[in-house]
Amino acid sequence: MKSFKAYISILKEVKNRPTKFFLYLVLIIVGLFMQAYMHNYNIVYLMMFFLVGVAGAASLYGVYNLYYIKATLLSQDRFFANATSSYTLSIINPKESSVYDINVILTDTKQLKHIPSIQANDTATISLHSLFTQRGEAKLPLLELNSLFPLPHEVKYKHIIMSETILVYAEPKGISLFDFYSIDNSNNGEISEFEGIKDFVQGENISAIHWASLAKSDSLKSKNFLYEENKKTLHFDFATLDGNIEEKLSQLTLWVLECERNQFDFTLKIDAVTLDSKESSIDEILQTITNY
Amino acid sequence: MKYFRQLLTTKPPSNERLLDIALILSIVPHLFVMKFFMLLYIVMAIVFIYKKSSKKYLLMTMGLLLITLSFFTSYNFSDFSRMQFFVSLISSLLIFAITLQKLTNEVNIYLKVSPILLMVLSFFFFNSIVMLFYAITTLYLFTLLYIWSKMDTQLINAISFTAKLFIAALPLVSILFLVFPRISIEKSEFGFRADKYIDSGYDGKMRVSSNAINLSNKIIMEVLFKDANISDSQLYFRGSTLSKQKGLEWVKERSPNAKDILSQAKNIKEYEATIYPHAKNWVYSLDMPLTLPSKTKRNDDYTLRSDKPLYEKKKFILKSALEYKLYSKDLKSTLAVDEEKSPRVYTLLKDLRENDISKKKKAYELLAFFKKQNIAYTLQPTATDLENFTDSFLLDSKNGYCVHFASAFASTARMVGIPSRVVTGFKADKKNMINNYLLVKSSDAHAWVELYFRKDGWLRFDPTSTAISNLSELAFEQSKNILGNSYLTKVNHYFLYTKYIINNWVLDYNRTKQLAILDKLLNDTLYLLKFVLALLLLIAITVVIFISIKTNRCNDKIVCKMQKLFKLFKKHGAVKKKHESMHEFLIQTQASLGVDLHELNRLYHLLKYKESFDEALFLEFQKELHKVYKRCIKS
Repeated sequence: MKSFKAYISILKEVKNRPTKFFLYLVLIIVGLFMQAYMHNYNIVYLMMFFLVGVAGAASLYGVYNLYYIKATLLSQDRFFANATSSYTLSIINPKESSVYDINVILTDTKQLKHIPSIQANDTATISLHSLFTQRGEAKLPLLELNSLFPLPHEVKYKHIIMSETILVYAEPKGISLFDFYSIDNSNNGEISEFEGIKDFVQGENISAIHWASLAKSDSLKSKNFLYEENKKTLHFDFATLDGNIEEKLSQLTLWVLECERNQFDFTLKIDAVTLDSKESSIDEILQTITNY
Repeated sequence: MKYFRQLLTTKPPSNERLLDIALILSIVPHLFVMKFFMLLYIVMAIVFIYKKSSKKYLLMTMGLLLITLSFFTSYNFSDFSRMQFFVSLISSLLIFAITLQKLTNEVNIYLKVSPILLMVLSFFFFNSIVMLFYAITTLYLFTLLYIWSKMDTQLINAISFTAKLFIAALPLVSILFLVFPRISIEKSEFGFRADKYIDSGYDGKMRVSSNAINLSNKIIMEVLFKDANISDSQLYFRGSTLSKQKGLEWVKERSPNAKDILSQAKNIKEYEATIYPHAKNWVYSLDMPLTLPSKTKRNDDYTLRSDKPLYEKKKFILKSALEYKLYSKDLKSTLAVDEEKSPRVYTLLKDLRENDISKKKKAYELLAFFKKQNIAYTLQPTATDLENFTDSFLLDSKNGYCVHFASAFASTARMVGIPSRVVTGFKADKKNMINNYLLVKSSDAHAWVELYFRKDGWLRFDPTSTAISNLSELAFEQSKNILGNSYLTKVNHYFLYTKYIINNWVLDYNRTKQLAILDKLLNDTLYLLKFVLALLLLIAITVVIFISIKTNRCNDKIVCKMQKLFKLFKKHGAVKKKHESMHEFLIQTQASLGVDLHELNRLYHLLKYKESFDEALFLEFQKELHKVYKRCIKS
């Protein structure tokens, strides 16, 4: 009784829908039936019954092929609203036997990844990408796992709701930090702006290494810049920005990312909260902006 | 063997190659019905395809020419009425199209469905056990090829998996086969004529000659009795009755009034007689047939004949009475004898003829007279004067076979005033019976005599039984000589029995059998119980086989041996992780379960990292494994 209940639950979880091969199968069965019926050939009847039997057995086996498979979120990029971000899923086969011919489909975008097989007690890793239109907490899209294994007359499928919640940061949009503050982004000097090269001293910024000379002479040289500005701390204040809330948040997100990219220190004041890039990680700052 | 092992571990070839394999498999039965020129075309096409020749039009022209030549001899419009001709033409054209398509190197949908079309067409050619096995095997292989390509694994794994599918399908196939409604009319021929027939060698007449007889083991018919309770002396299958003696020949001529009447039929036997094709109307039935199967007629002498000559194997459901009384009104032709041809015997029988005893007693006296002559049974009779056959056979040459005995006995019976006639047919040997299945072979052809008594009607007398050697012993000896030795005979017999059972219950399974089973299920509780038990047994066997077939083979001999122990560990929560070394796993399991695995760990690593496989060490490892397993169970 217990196994019967388990079987019912398996059937409920893994569904199937016919494919064009199902139509072919029906046509073959009808053809065989006509031949068997008109000529009373028991061999043909047997063929027909075997086709039905094997198709049925394949259907059941296909359900088992799919039933135990699980999916978990393995790693992810930062998700930003209205930007495509990728993430990695681990497709787990906890069974004692291998599973075959698995298609992982994102139900919203119909994005498809094919996994030929997963060995017993093993996992397969797939990379997918999604687009979210709104900032804030979000669920990963519904996954459909389907398979045409062992026979293609019907596709067996099941849906997996990803339990992990992800945070979609605000869309990085607005005026560039460099335009807004008129900052020369080559504060450390562009390649054209250094007057020569000197021997690299331990502790110097790696970005100052003159790679061309390393390649040519195998000696580590650093660039001798015309000028070097002292690093300054930028201050962003949510309240002083123009535009509506979403525009402000987008602007802040853009600047935070630019600061990260250019290793600028900054403080961010958002309502009563002030965050310092020296004390909080960029993700914590982005989370604060997102959760506004 | 090495090659075979290699084959089992190979990965699937390309889909195109798999399709080629499927095409080759489906063409096989067609090769057996194709004519020379068509076969020549196939060989040519294979060469063209193998060499990737671009001369498509040359192959096309050659193909058309060879196909025309192949069908030229039998080509006229009336040939289209022969199904085999019609279907073989279609299959030839299909093969022609396949080869041309193959030459283009393009795999289209038509090429993909060709194996199935070829297979379906081949069902028209053969309806035999070989075809049954071929069809199931090919279906299995088609499925295997597809699954192999999908699994992208070793062939052995795909074989196991496909086997599992087929085994899982068996209960449903069996149930469908039993209950699926079948056509109730005879096999439809749709105006197609039968293509061939085989002569059985049995003849409705009987002629006494000094020719030697070469018995063959050709099968005449297969009989399945409802119950096996029948004696050897009752296995007389009636072919024809010959009342008129024309010199050395016995013929069937009867007067219109000489109609036999059957009464007091007892000891009735039901049986199915499957008669092999003999291109005549003869239907052999046990003495004395009661029922008249459809499309058969009963002759006046209680022999049966089919409406149409038997060009194909045909089954008749019959009932015969083993005890009966068969009377005749007109006996004139059954007393005529030319005593001048046998003056010596006629004189010898004078006392018996004039004796005032009953005719039945006279008949037995006559049998005693035959016995007294010490006549030898032989298939190579010698020195018999056919001009004075009865005298020569009984008094001089004293050797012969059933025809000589029957002819002489019928003649002598007439000499003493007893109406007689010769019956030809088959006297089956019970040694050829397995359970209730009886095989009647050409070597069982026999002739015996029926004598008429006013009270008892026609009674069967077998004068061959008066020969010095017993008839059945002789027949057995002869069949032994024909087949070589008795063991092979037995094996052959069992093979034929199996073949018959498959034929009877698979190939010839029909609506009548379905209804008979249904009727029995409804009326016989024991049968119903047996039926249900048989189905349950089938399902249980299927489940057992299904479980026992391993889809994923264990490649490591040492680890394979440990699987049972691993399962036991798993029950107690100790599971080896994928990237965990065996040493780590065993140490951790030892700590968590409290079982000493130290020695097992040592032996495992010794075995594993030894340069060559050490059988003695492996044995020691297995013993330790067994000990550990027992310890685990106890703890």
